[in-house]
Amino acid sequence: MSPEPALVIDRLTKDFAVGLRGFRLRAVDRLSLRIAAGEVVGLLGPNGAGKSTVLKVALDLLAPTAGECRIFGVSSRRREARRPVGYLPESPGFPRHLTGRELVSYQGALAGLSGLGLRTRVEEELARTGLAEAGARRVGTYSKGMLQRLGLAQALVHGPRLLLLDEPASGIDGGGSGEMVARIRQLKAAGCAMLVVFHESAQMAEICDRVALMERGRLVAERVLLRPAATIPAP
Amino acid sequence: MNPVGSWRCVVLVARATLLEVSRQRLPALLLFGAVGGILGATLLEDFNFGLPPLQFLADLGQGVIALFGSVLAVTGSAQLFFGEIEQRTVFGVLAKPVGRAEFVLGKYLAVLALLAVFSVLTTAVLVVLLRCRGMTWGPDWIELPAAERLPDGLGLVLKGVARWLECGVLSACTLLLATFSSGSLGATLLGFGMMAIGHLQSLARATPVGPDPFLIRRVVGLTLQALPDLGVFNLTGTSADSTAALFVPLARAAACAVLYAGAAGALAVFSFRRREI
Repeated sequence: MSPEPALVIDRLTKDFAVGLRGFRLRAVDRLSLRIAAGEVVGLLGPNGAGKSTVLKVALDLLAPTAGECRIFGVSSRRREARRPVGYLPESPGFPRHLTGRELVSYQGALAGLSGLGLRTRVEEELARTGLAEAGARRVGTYSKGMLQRLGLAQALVHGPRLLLLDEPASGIDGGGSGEMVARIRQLKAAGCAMLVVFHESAQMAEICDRVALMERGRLVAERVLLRPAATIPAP
Repeated sequence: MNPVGSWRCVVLVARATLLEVSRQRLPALLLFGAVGGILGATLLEDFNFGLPPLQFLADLGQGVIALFGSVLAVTGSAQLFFGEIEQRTVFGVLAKPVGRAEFVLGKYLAVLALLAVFSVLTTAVLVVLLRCRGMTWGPDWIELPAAERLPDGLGLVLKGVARWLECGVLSACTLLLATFSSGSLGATLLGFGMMAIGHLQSLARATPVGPDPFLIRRVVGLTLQALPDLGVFNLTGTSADSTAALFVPLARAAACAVLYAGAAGALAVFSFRRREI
Protein backbone atom coordinates (compact mmCIF):
# COMPACT_ATOMS: atom_id res chain seq x y z
CA MET A 1 0.00 0.00 0.00
CA SER A 2 1.30 3.46 -0.89
CA PRO A 3 2.65 5.41 2.11
CA GLU A 4 1.41 8.67 0.55
CA PRO A 5 -2.07 9.75 1.60
CA ALA A 6 -4.58 9.13 -1.17
CA LEU A 7 -5.89 12.68 -1.00
CA VAL A 8 -4.73 15.75 0.87
CA ILE A 9 -6.89 18.86 0.72
CA ASP A 10 -4.94 21.72 2.20
CA ARG A 11 -6.70 24.97 3.20
CA LEU A 12 -8.78 24.86 0.05
CA THR A 13 -10.81 27.95 -0.80
CA LYS A 14 -13.03 28.31 -3.83
CA ASP A 15 -14.84 31.51 -4.82
CA PHE A 16 -17.26 31.87 -7.71
CA ALA A 17 -17.85 35.17 -9.47
CA VAL A 18 -21.57 35.89 -9.56
CA GLY A 19 -23.21 38.47 -11.82
CA LEU A 20 -21.68 41.22 -13.90
CA ARG A 21 -20.50 43.15 -10.86
CA GLY A 22 -18.12 40.33 -9.99
CA PHE A 23 -19.65 39.53 -6.60
CA ARG A 24 -17.66 36.69 -5.04
CA LEU A 25 -19.56 33.74 -3.62
CA ARG A 26 -17.40 31.57 -1.37
CA ALA A 27 -18.32 27.93 -1.97
CA VAL A 28 -15.44 26.36 -0.04
CA ASP A 29 -13.69 28.12 2.79
CA ARG A 30 -10.21 27.03 3.97
CA LEU A 31 -11.13 23.35 4.02
CA SER A 32 -8.50 20.82 5.02
CA LEU A 33 -9.02 17.09 4.83
CA ARG A 34 -6.74 14.08 4.59
CA ILE A 35 -7.68 10.63 3.32
CA ALA A 36 -5.24 7.80 3.91
CA ALA A 37 -4.76 5.05 1.32
CA GLY A 38 -7.58 2.54 1.70
CA GLU A 39 -9.64 4.84 3.92
CA VAL A 40 -13.28 5.70 3.19
CA VAL A 41 -14.37 9.19 4.18
CA GLY A 42 -17.93 10.44 3.87
CA LEU A 43 -18.69 14.07 3.15
CA LEU A 44 -22.02 15.16 4.53
CA GLY A 45 -23.81 18.47 4.46
CA PRO A 46 -26.88 20.34 3.27
CA ASN A 47 -27.39 21.44 -0.34
CA GLY A 48 -25.00 24.24 -1.27
CA ALA A 49 -22.49 23.31 1.42
CA GLY A 50 -19.75 22.96 -1.21
CA LYS A 51 -19.36 19.16 -1.20
CA SER A 52 -19.47 18.68 -4.98
CA THR A 53 -17.21 21.69 -5.45
CA VAL A 54 -14.54 19.99 -3.33
CA LEU A 55 -14.63 16.94 -5.60
CA LYS A 56 -14.44 19.09 -8.73
CA VAL A 57 -11.45 21.05 -7.43
CA ALA A 58 -9.75 17.77 -6.52
CA LEU A 59 -10.19 16.70 -10.16
CA ASP A 60 -9.09 20.09 -11.54
CA LEU A 61 -12.49 20.61 -13.14
CA LEU A 62 -12.47 23.84 -11.11
CA ALA A 63 -9.39 25.87 -10.23
CA PRO A 64 -8.90 26.60 -6.53
CA THR A 65 -8.93 30.22 -5.42
CA ALA A 66 -6.44 29.36 -2.67
CA GLY A 67 -4.99 26.21 -1.18
CA GLU A 68 -4.35 22.99 -3.00
CA CYS A 69 -5.20 19.31 -3.39
CA ARG A 70 -2.67 16.49 -3.74
CA ILE A 71 -3.50 13.02 -4.98
CA PHE A 72 -0.95 10.42 -3.86
CA GLY A 73 1.51 13.29 -3.46
CA VAL A 74 0.92 14.84 -6.88
CA SER A 75 -0.74 18.25 -7.23
CA SER A 76 -4.24 17.86 -8.61
CA ARG A 77 -3.46 20.64 -11.12
CA ARG A 78 -1.28 18.11 -12.95
CA ARG A 79 -3.19 15.68 -15.09
CA GLU A 80 -0.96 12.76 -14.04
CA ALA A 81 -2.63 13.10 -10.66
CA ARG A 82 -5.93 11.93 -12.17
CA ARG A 83 -4.53 8.65 -13.49
CA PRO A 84 -5.27 6.62 -10.29
CA VAL A 85 -8.63 8.35 -9.72
CA GLY A 86 -12.15 7.23 -10.55
CA TYR A 87 -14.99 9.75 -10.49
CA LEU A 88 -18.72 9.26 -10.42
CA PRO A 89 -20.48 12.63 -10.77
CA GLU A 90 -23.92 13.28 -9.36
CA SER A 91 -26.56 12.37 -11.97
CA PRO A 92 -23.90 11.52 -14.55
CA GLY A 93 -24.49 12.46 -18.18
CA PHE A 94 -23.14 10.29 -20.98
CA PRO A 95 -23.16 10.51 -24.79
CA ARG A 96 -26.61 9.14 -25.68
CA HIS A 97 -25.66 7.54 -28.97
CA LEU A 98 -22.77 5.41 -27.74
CA THR A 99 -23.49 1.94 -26.38
CA GLY A 100 -22.67 1.20 -22.75
CA ARG A 101 -19.77 -1.01 -23.83
CA GLU A 102 -18.37 1.67 -26.16
CA LEU A 103 -18.58 4.26 -23.41
CA VAL A 104 -16.78 2.18 -20.77
CA SER A 105 -14.19 1.18 -23.35
CA TYR A 106 -13.67 4.84 -24.31
CA GLN A 107 -13.20 5.85 -20.66
CA GLY A 108 -10.79 2.97 -20.07
CA ALA A 109 -8.74 3.95 -23.11
CA LEU A 110 -8.59 7.56 -21.91
CA ALA A 111 -7.22 6.25 -18.62
CA GLY A 112 -4.41 4.50 -20.49
CA LEU A 113 -5.71 0.95 -21.02
CA SER A 114 -5.49 -0.69 -24.42
CA GLY A 115 -5.78 -3.98 -26.28
CA LEU A 116 -6.79 -7.17 -24.52
CA GLY A 117 -6.35 -5.61 -21.08
CA LEU A 118 -8.92 -2.95 -21.93
CA ARG A 119 -11.42 -5.42 -23.37
CA THR A 120 -11.09 -7.70 -20.35
CA ARG A 121 -11.55 -4.86 -17.87
CA VAL A 122 -14.58 -3.52 -19.76
CA GLU A 123 -16.32 -6.91 -19.71
CA GLU A 124 -15.45 -7.42 -16.03
CA GLU A 125 -16.87 -4.08 -14.97
CA LEU A 126 -19.99 -4.44 -17.11
CA ALA A 127 -20.59 -7.86 -15.56
CA ARG A 128 -20.01 -6.60 -12.00
CA THR A 129 -22.44 -3.73 -12.48
CA GLY A 130 -25.03 -6.01 -14.08
CA LEU A 131 -24.79 -4.35 -17.49
CA ALA A 132 -23.21 -7.18 -19.49
CA GLU A 133 -26.31 -7.67 -21.64
CA ALA A 134 -27.37 -4.02 -21.74
CA GLY A 135 -23.82 -3.07 -22.80
CA ALA A 136 -24.80 -3.49 -26.45
CA ARG A 137 -27.63 -0.96 -26.11
CA ARG A 138 -27.26 2.77 -26.60
CA VAL A 139 -26.91 4.81 -23.41
CA GLY A 140 -29.96 6.91 -24.39
CA THR A 141 -32.17 3.89 -23.70
CA TYR A 142 -30.86 3.34 -20.13
CA SER A 143 -32.93 3.95 -17.00
CA LYS A 144 -31.72 6.24 -14.23
CA GLY A 145 -30.46 3.31 -12.17
CA MET A 146 -28.64 1.81 -15.15
CA LEU A 147 -26.97 5.14 -15.85
CA GLN A 148 -25.74 5.26 -12.26
CA ARG A 149 -24.32 1.75 -12.58
CA LEU A 150 -22.76 2.66 -15.91
CA GLY A 151 -21.22 5.68 -14.18
CA LEU A 152 -19.67 3.38 -11.61
CA ALA A 153 -18.40 1.03 -14.32
CA GLN A 154 -16.65 3.86 -16.20
CA ALA A 155 -15.19 5.16 -12.92
CA LEU A 156 -13.77 1.73 -12.04
CA VAL A 157 -12.68 0.39 -15.42
CA HIS A 158 -9.02 1.37 -14.99
CA GLY A 159 -8.77 0.02 -11.44
CA PRO A 160 -8.43 3.33 -9.54
CA ARG A 161 -6.81 3.58 -6.10
CA LEU A 162 -8.90 6.62 -5.17
CA LEU A 163 -12.60 6.98 -5.86
CA LEU A 164 -14.52 10.24 -5.71
CA LEU A 165 -18.22 9.47 -5.59
CA ASP A 166 -20.80 12.25 -5.67
CA GLU A 167 -24.05 10.92 -4.22
CA PRO A 168 -23.63 7.47 -5.78
CA ALA A 169 -27.09 6.28 -4.73
CA SER A 170 -28.85 9.44 -5.91
CA GLY A 171 -32.04 8.84 -7.88
CA ILE A 172 -31.99 5.06 -7.68
CA ASP A 173 -34.48 2.90 -5.82
CA GLY A 174 -33.89 0.98 -2.57
CA GLY A 175 -32.68 -2.21 -4.25
CA GLY A 176 -30.31 -0.34 -6.54
CA SER A 177 -29.06 1.72 -3.63
CA GLY A 178 -28.30 -1.46 -1.68
CA GLU A 179 -26.36 -2.89 -4.63
CA MET A 180 -24.36 0.30 -4.88
CA VAL A 181 -23.49 0.22 -1.19
CA ALA A 182 -22.47 -3.44 -1.52
CA ARG A 183 -20.18 -2.60 -4.43
CA ILE A 184 -18.57 0.24 -2.46
CA ARG A 185 -17.94 -2.20 0.39
CA GLN A 186 -16.22 -4.59 -1.99
CA LEU A 187 -13.99 -1.79 -3.23
CA LYS A 188 -13.18 -0.78 0.31
CA ALA A 189 -12.23 -4.37 1.11
CA ALA A 190 -9.93 -4.30 -1.92
CA GLY A 191 -8.09 -1.29 -0.44
CA CYS A 192 -9.52 1.50 -2.57
CA ALA A 193 -9.59 4.90 -0.83
CA MET A 194 -12.82 6.85 -1.24
CA LEU A 195 -14.29 10.26 -0.68
CA VAL A 196 -18.03 9.82 -0.86
CA VAL A 197 -20.61 12.57 -0.87
CA PHE A 198 -23.76 11.01 0.57
CA HIS A 199 -27.29 12.26 0.74
CA GLU A 200 -28.29 10.02 3.61
CA SER A 201 -26.23 9.70 6.75
CA ALA A 202 -27.61 6.18 7.34
CA GLN A 203 -25.90 4.86 4.19
CA MET A 204 -22.76 6.72 5.12
CA ALA A 205 -22.55 5.03 8.50
CA GLU A 206 -22.62 1.62 6.81
CA ILE A 207 -19.46 2.08 4.78
CA CYS A 208 -17.38 5.01 6.01
CA ASP A 209 -14.41 4.98 8.38
CA ARG A 210 -14.78 8.67 9.01
CA VAL A 211 -17.36 11.36 8.35
CA ALA A 212 -16.75 15.04 7.67
CA LEU A 213 -19.61 17.51 7.96
CA MET A 214 -19.61 20.60 5.76
CA GLU A 215 -21.70 23.71 6.15
CA ARG A 216 -21.44 26.89 4.07
CA GLY A 217 -18.16 25.76 2.61
CA ARG A 218 -16.51 25.01 5.94
CA LEU A 219 -15.66 21.77 7.66
CA VAL A 220 -17.64 22.02 10.87
CA ALA A 221 -17.16 18.54 12.29
CA GLU A 222 -15.12 15.43 11.65
CA ARG A 223 -15.81 12.13 13.35
CA VAL A 224 -14.35 8.65 13.23
CA LEU A 225 -17.09 6.05 13.10
CA LEU A 226 -16.71 3.58 15.93
CA ARG A 227 -18.14 0.59 14.11
CA PRO A 228 -15.48 -0.77 11.74
CA ALA A 229 -17.00 -1.36 8.34
CA ALA A 230 -15.11 -4.68 8.11
CA THR A 231 -17.41 -6.14 10.76
CA ILE A 232 -20.51 -5.40 8.73
CA PRO A 233 -21.63 -8.61 7.04
CA ALA A 234 -21.89 -8.50 3.29
CA PRO A 235 -25.51 -8.61 2.05
CA MET B 1 3.76 16.10 -21.08
CA ASN B 2 4.02 12.92 -23.16
CA PRO B 3 3.29 13.86 -26.81
CA VAL B 4 2.41 10.28 -27.76
CA GLY B 5 -0.06 10.04 -24.86
CA SER B 6 -1.47 13.46 -25.72
CA TRP B 7 -1.97 12.56 -29.37
CA ARG B 8 -3.58 9.27 -28.31
CA CYS B 9 -6.08 11.19 -26.16
CA VAL B 10 -6.85 13.57 -29.05
CA VAL B 11 -7.53 10.62 -31.36
CA LEU B 12 -9.65 8.84 -28.72
CA VAL B 13 -11.80 11.94 -28.14
CA ALA B 14 -12.13 12.48 -31.90
CA ARG B 15 -13.04 8.84 -32.55
CA ALA B 16 -15.71 8.73 -29.83
CA THR B 17 -17.12 12.06 -31.01
CA LEU B 18 -17.26 10.88 -34.61
CA LEU B 19 -18.95 7.65 -33.55
CA GLU B 20 -21.49 9.64 -31.55
CA VAL B 21 -22.18 12.18 -34.28
CA SER B 22 -22.47 9.52 -37.00
CA ARG B 23 -25.55 8.24 -35.16
CA GLN B 24 -27.19 11.65 -34.77
CA ARG B 25 -29.90 12.91 -37.07
CA LEU B 26 -28.73 16.46 -37.84
CA PRO B 27 -25.60 15.61 -39.88
CA ALA B 28 -27.55 13.00 -41.85
CA LEU B 29 -30.36 15.50 -42.49
CA LEU B 30 -27.89 18.12 -43.71
CA LEU B 31 -26.19 15.56 -45.96
CA PHE B 32 -29.50 14.46 -47.47
CA GLY B 33 -30.55 18.12 -47.78
CA ALA B 34 -27.37 18.95 -49.69
CA VAL B 35 -27.68 15.92 -51.99
CA GLY B 36 -31.36 16.77 -52.57
CA GLY B 37 -30.39 20.35 -53.36
CA ILE B 38 -27.72 19.26 -55.88
CA LEU B 39 -30.07 16.84 -57.62
CA GLY B 40 -32.95 19.34 -57.39
CA ALA B 41 -30.85 21.91 -59.27
CA THR B 42 -31.65 19.99 -62.45
CA LEU B 43 -35.28 21.09 -62.04
CA LEU B 44 -34.17 24.73 -62.19
CA GLU B 45 -32.09 24.43 -65.34
CA ASP B 46 -34.56 26.58 -67.29
CA PHE B 47 -33.77 29.53 -65.02
CA ASN B 48 -30.09 29.60 -65.97
CA PHE B 49 -29.74 33.37 -66.60
CA GLY B 50 -28.10 32.65 -69.93
CA LEU B 51 -25.33 30.47 -68.49
CA PRO B 52 -24.46 27.16 -70.14
CA PRO B 53 -26.56 24.46 -68.38
CA LEU B 54 -23.44 22.66 -67.14
CA GLN B 55 -22.02 25.84 -65.63
CA PHE B 56 -25.37 26.70 -64.04
CA LEU B 57 -25.67 23.26 -62.45
CA ALA B 58 -22.07 23.42 -61.21
CA ASP B 59 -22.54 26.88 -59.67
CA LEU B 60 -25.82 25.98 -58.02
CA GLY B 61 -24.46 22.66 -56.77
CA GLN B 62 -21.39 24.29 -55.25
CA GLY B 63 -23.59 26.94 -53.64
CA VAL B 64 -25.70 24.22 -52.04
CA ILE B 65 -22.57 22.41 -50.78
CA ALA B 66 -21.17 25.65 -49.35
CA LEU B 67 -24.45 26.53 -47.60
CA PHE B 68 -25.11 23.12 -46.04
CA GLY B 69 -21.42 22.66 -45.26
CA SER B 70 -21.30 25.97 -43.40
CA VAL B 71 -24.44 25.10 -41.43
CA LEU B 72 -22.90 21.72 -40.53
CA ALA B 73 -19.62 23.38 -39.50
CA VAL B 74 -21.32 25.90 -37.21
CA THR B 75 -24.05 23.73 -35.67
CA GLY B 76 -21.81 20.67 -35.48
CA SER B 77 -18.99 22.50 -33.70
CA ALA B 78 -21.29 24.35 -31.29
CA GLN B 79 -23.33 21.28 -30.39
CA LEU B 80 -20.53 18.76 -30.23
CA PHE B 81 -18.54 20.97 -27.93
CA PHE B 82 -21.20 22.71 -25.88
CA GLY B 83 -23.44 19.65 -25.74
CA GLU B 84 -20.71 17.98 -23.67
CA ILE B 85 -20.86 20.81 -21.13
CA GLU B 86 -24.65 21.14 -21.08
CA GLN B 87 -25.19 17.39 -20.71
CA ARG B 88 -22.25 17.19 -18.28
CA THR B 89 -20.61 14.41 -20.27
CA VAL B 90 -17.41 16.46 -20.17
CA PHE B 91 -16.90 15.58 -16.49
CA GLY B 92 -16.30 11.93 -17.29
CA VAL B 93 -13.67 12.79 -19.90
CA LEU B 94 -11.78 15.50 -18.02
CA ALA B 95 -11.79 13.46 -14.80
CA LYS B 96 -9.46 11.09 -16.65
CA PRO B 97 -5.85 12.13 -17.38
CA VAL B 98 -6.94 14.16 -20.39
CA GLY B 99 -5.86 17.77 -20.87
CA ARG B 100 -8.32 20.42 -21.94
CA ALA B 101 -6.23 21.18 -25.03
CA GLU B 102 -6.54 17.53 -26.06
CA PHE B 103 -10.29 17.64 -25.52
CA VAL B 104 -10.70 20.75 -27.72
CA LEU B 105 -8.37 19.38 -30.41
CA GLY B 106 -10.17 16.03 -30.36
CA LYS B 107 -13.51 17.75 -30.88
CA TYR B 108 -12.06 19.85 -33.71
CA LEU B 109 -10.52 16.83 -35.39
CA ALA B 110 -13.91 15.06 -35.24
CA VAL B 111 -15.68 18.02 -36.86
CA LEU B 112 -12.99 18.22 -39.56
CA ALA B 113 -13.42 14.51 -40.30
CA LEU B 114 -17.20 14.93 -40.41
CA LEU B 115 -16.88 17.86 -42.79
CA ALA B 116 -14.46 15.86 -44.94
CA VAL B 117 -16.99 13.03 -45.27
CA PHE B 118 -19.70 15.59 -46.11
CA SER B 119 -17.51 17.34 -48.70
CA VAL B 120 -16.39 14.11 -50.38
CA LEU B 121 -19.93 12.70 -50.64
CA THR B 122 -21.60 15.91 -51.88
CA THR B 123 -18.79 16.73 -54.33
CA ALA B 124 -18.94 13.17 -55.64
CA VAL B 125 -22.69 13.50 -56.23
CA LEU B 126 -22.15 16.80 -58.06
CA VAL B 127 -19.33 15.42 -60.21
CA VAL B 128 -21.33 12.31 -61.12
CA LEU B 129 -24.37 14.44 -61.98
CA LEU B 130 -22.36 16.74 -64.22
CA ARG B 131 -20.48 13.82 -65.75
CA CYS B 132 -23.85 12.33 -66.74
CA ARG B 133 -24.57 15.66 -68.42
CA GLY B 134 -21.40 15.50 -70.45
CA MET B 135 -18.76 17.12 -68.22
CA THR B 136 -15.16 16.14 -68.92
CA TRP B 137 -12.75 14.99 -66.21
CA GLY B 138 -9.94 17.30 -67.30
CA PRO B 139 -9.91 20.90 -68.55
CA ASP B 140 -10.85 20.53 -72.22
CA TRP B 141 -11.90 24.17 -72.42
CA ILE B 142 -8.48 25.84 -72.25
CA GLU B 143 -8.69 27.00 -75.84
CA LEU B 144 -12.11 28.55 -75.30
CA PRO B 145 -12.73 32.20 -74.33
CA ALA B 146 -13.31 32.69 -70.57
CA ALA B 147 -17.07 33.21 -70.98
CA GLU B 148 -17.47 29.85 -72.73
CA ARG B 149 -15.38 27.75 -70.37
CA LEU B 150 -17.15 24.87 -68.71
CA PRO B 151 -16.59 23.16 -65.37
CA ASP B 152 -14.47 20.01 -65.24
CA GLY B 153 -14.12 17.21 -62.71
CA LEU B 154 -10.71 18.17 -61.36
CA GLY B 155 -11.71 21.82 -60.96
CA LEU B 156 -14.80 20.83 -58.98
CA VAL B 157 -12.72 18.62 -56.69
CA LEU B 158 -10.24 21.43 -56.02
CA LYS B 159 -13.09 23.83 -55.29
CA GLY B 160 -14.56 21.20 -52.97
CA VAL B 161 -11.26 21.08 -51.08
CA ALA B 162 -11.35 24.88 -50.74
CA ARG B 163 -14.90 24.69 -49.34
CA TRP B 164 -13.78 22.07 -46.83
CA LEU B 165 -10.95 24.38 -45.72
CA GLU B 166 -13.47 27.21 -45.35
CA CYS B 167 -15.72 25.04 -43.21
CA GLY B 168 -12.68 24.07 -41.13
CA VAL B 169 -11.94 27.73 -40.39
CA LEU B 170 -15.59 28.37 -39.58
CA SER B 171 -15.60 25.38 -37.26
CA ALA B 172 -12.46 26.58 -35.43
CA CYS B 173 -14.00 30.05 -34.99
CA THR B 174 -17.26 28.52 -33.68
CA LEU B 175 -15.28 26.35 -31.24
CA LEU B 176 -13.52 29.48 -30.00
CA LEU B 177 -16.87 31.24 -29.53
CA ALA B 178 -18.30 28.16 -27.79
CA THR B 179 -15.48 28.10 -25.21
CA PHE B 180 -16.68 31.33 -23.64
CA SER B 181 -20.33 31.30 -24.69
CA SER B 182 -23.02 30.62 -22.09
CA GLY B 183 -25.08 28.23 -24.23
CA SER B 184 -25.03 26.23 -27.46
CA LEU B 185 -27.69 28.50 -29.00
CA GLY B 186 -25.53 31.56 -28.34
CA ALA B 187 -22.46 29.80 -29.75
CA THR B 188 -24.42 28.78 -32.86
CA LEU B 189 -25.75 32.30 -33.45
CA LEU B 190 -22.30 33.80 -32.93
CA GLY B 191 -20.90 31.21 -35.35
CA PHE B 192 -23.40 32.24 -38.01
CA GLY B 193 -22.52 35.88 -37.28
CA MET B 194 -18.87 35.03 -37.87
CA MET B 195 -19.83 33.32 -41.12
CA ALA B 196 -21.69 36.45 -42.32
CA ILE B 197 -18.78 38.71 -41.35
CA GLY B 198 -16.30 36.38 -43.03
CA HIS B 199 -18.21 36.44 -46.31
CA LEU B 200 -18.57 40.23 -46.21
CA GLN B 201 -14.89 40.77 -45.45
CA SER B 202 -13.79 41.24 -49.06
CA LEU B 203 -16.55 43.81 -49.52
CA ALA B 204 -15.62 45.62 -46.31
CA ARG B 205 -11.92 45.66 -47.17
CA ALA B 206 -12.68 47.08 -50.58
CA THR B 207 -14.84 49.86 -49.09
CA PRO B 208 -12.72 52.96 -48.55
CA VAL B 209 -12.74 54.20 -44.95
CA GLY B 210 -12.51 57.96 -44.57
CA PRO B 211 -9.13 59.33 -43.53
CA ASP B 212 -10.52 60.80 -40.32
CA PRO B 213 -10.66 60.14 -37.53
CA PHE B 214 -7.39 58.22 -37.67
CA LEU B 215 -8.14 56.03 -34.61
CA ILE B 216 -11.40 54.69 -36.03
CA ARG B 217 -9.69 53.94 -39.32
CA ARG B 218 -6.97 52.01 -37.52
CA VAL B 219 -9.46 50.10 -35.32
CA VAL B 220 -11.61 49.16 -38.32
CA GLY B 221 -8.52 48.14 -40.28
CA LEU B 222 -7.14 45.96 -37.48
CA THR B 223 -10.53 44.33 -36.85
CA LEU B 224 -10.84 43.46 -40.52
CA GLN B 225 -7.36 41.98 -40.51
CA ALA B 226 -8.06 39.90 -37.40
CA LEU B 227 -11.28 38.32 -38.65
CA PRO B 228 -11.08 35.61 -41.30
CA ASP B 229 -11.85 36.50 -44.90
CA LEU B 230 -13.89 33.55 -46.15
CA GLY B 231 -13.85 34.95 -49.67
CA VAL B 232 -10.34 33.51 -49.98
CA PHE B 233 -11.87 30.04 -50.11
CA ASN B 234 -14.25 30.81 -52.97
CA LEU B 235 -12.45 29.66 -56.10
CA THR B 236 -15.59 29.73 -58.24
CA GLY B 237 -14.84 33.07 -59.83
CA THR B 238 -11.13 32.44 -60.14
CA SER B 239 -9.92 32.99 -63.66
CA ALA B 240 -7.29 30.47 -64.56
CA ASP B 241 -5.77 29.44 -67.84
CA SER B 242 -5.99 25.83 -66.72
CA THR B 243 -7.30 23.78 -63.86
CA ALA B 244 -3.70 23.35 -62.74
CA ALA B 245 -3.61 27.11 -62.19
CA LEU B 246 -6.35 26.67 -59.56
CA PHE B 247 -3.67 25.15 -57.33
CA VAL B 248 -2.21 28.62 -56.69
CA PRO B 249 -5.35 30.13 -55.08
CA LEU B 250 -5.96 26.75 -53.41
CA ALA B 251 -2.49 26.87 -51.85
CA ARG B 252 -3.20 30.42 -50.69
CA ALA B 253 -6.53 29.26 -49.23
CA ALA B 254 -4.77 26.37 -47.45
CA ALA B 255 -2.20 28.74 -45.94
CA CYS B 256 -4.99 31.08 -44.75
CA ALA B 257 -6.92 28.11 -43.32
CA VAL B 258 -3.89 26.92 -41.32
CA LEU B 259 -3.29 30.45 -40.03
CA TYR B 260 -6.88 31.24 -39.08
CA ALA B 261 -7.75 27.78 -37.73
CA GLY B 262 -4.45 27.65 -35.81
CA ALA B 263 -5.06 31.04 -34.21
CA ALA B 264 -8.71 30.29 -33.40
CA GLY B 265 -7.78 26.84 -32.06
CA ALA B 266 -5.02 28.23 -29.83
CA LEU B 267 -7.38 30.89 -28.46
CA ALA B 268 -10.08 28.24 -27.92
CA VAL B 269 -7.66 26.11 -25.89
CA PHE B 270 -6.56 29.15 -23.87
CA SER B 271 -10.17 30.15 -23.21
CA PHE B 272 -11.32 26.61 -22.32
CA ARG B 273 -8.42 26.11 -19.91
CA ARG B 274 -9.64 29.10 -17.93
CA ARG B 275 -13.28 28.11 -18.07
CA GLU B 276 -14.92 26.66 -14.96
CA ILE B 277 -17.25 23.82 -15.84
